[in-house]
Amino acid sequence: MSQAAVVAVYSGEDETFSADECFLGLAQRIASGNTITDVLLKDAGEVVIDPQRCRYTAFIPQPDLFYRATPGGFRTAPAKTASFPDYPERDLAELLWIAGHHASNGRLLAGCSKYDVVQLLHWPNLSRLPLTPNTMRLCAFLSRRASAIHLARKLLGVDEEEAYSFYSAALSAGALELVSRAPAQNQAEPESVPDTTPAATERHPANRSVLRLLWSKVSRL
Amino acid sequence: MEHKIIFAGPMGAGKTTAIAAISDIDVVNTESAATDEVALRKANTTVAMDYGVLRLEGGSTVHLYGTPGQERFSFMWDILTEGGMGLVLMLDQARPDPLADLTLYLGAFRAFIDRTGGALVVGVSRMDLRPGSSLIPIREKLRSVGLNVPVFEVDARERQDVKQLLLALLVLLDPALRR
Repeated sequence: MSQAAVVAVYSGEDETFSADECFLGLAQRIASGNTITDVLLKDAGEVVIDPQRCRYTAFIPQPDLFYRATPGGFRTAPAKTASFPDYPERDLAELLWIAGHHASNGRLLAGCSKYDVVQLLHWPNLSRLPLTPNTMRLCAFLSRRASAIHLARKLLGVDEEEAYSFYSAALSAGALELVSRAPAQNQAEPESVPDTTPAATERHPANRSVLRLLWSKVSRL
Repeated sequence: MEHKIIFAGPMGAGKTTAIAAISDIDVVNTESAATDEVALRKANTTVAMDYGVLRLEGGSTVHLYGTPGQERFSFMWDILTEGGMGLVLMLDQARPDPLADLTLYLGAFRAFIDRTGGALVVGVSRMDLRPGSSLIPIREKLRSVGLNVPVFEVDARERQDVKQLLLALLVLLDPALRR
């Protein structure tokens, strides 16, 4: 059984990965069909996907191994149900987020560019998903304006790898809308759309120090 | 300047529990014995407010106010939101019609939400009691009224879940905040 890591492709300046070379692509194919499917990677985990109800059930003790394995390593079989008494059934978009996050490992999805202009369609269920330190900040930023992921990460001071993992996960889960695709590499950075919603700190600058203290306090809870 | 975060939502959604999970003091509440249909769900219910505190470095404090859940005490809602930083709306997925609850509270608190520049987060509790339930209808309802805000599944007893709600509220207020 092959459990090799996802093959990385180096194209231009940013490393990319292909969904077709890991669990993500397999899950996307099952999600676009009609058959409830059991996906097993021995000693790594098992998922049952119900594409019609957009639900899944999973037991994945080795997530990195599972989500980064090549499709040939998985055993797939039709199943009767994705509902099991002892396992929580969840939204399929959450599985796709998790799969995109693990497979990305700091890389862009093949075909994507850091200059793609994107906007957050909806906040993912972040209390039940893998979080990186700036996931919420990227969500907050992109929920209020369309922006190139490259520009968003620069404005927020987020590392490339973290921003690309976020982009890959959010795009895989359908939480991001692609507003425009970069036509060519090295194009001029698109201008950000001005935020028309006044932030609390702009209206009350004194709030900023309290917000920072509160952020620090809550982060340590 | 007074700093307040408001917790709202229907009776039993976990407002009191969520405040207790993060407050630096024991929650001060104004619960009384339930005597009507509410008693079927809870022995006690909040009739005026819950109150907790987050003490910050430098001596400042953030007050945590929980509004009474029952609509007949809605006259308290405007009073408690005055000067608030943002709203944590708790919904109970095990209630008969969570979307109707959402509509009610969005209507009641919309002016406050707009005053804060959209500082609203929604915590959905007890999803495990309704297998197959999803956050998608709640997100869609919020989008239909022009709100793209965080909607998270929570267990109000879990401090980490309440923490995620608060962190999301804070980045809505200022995305420049960072660890």
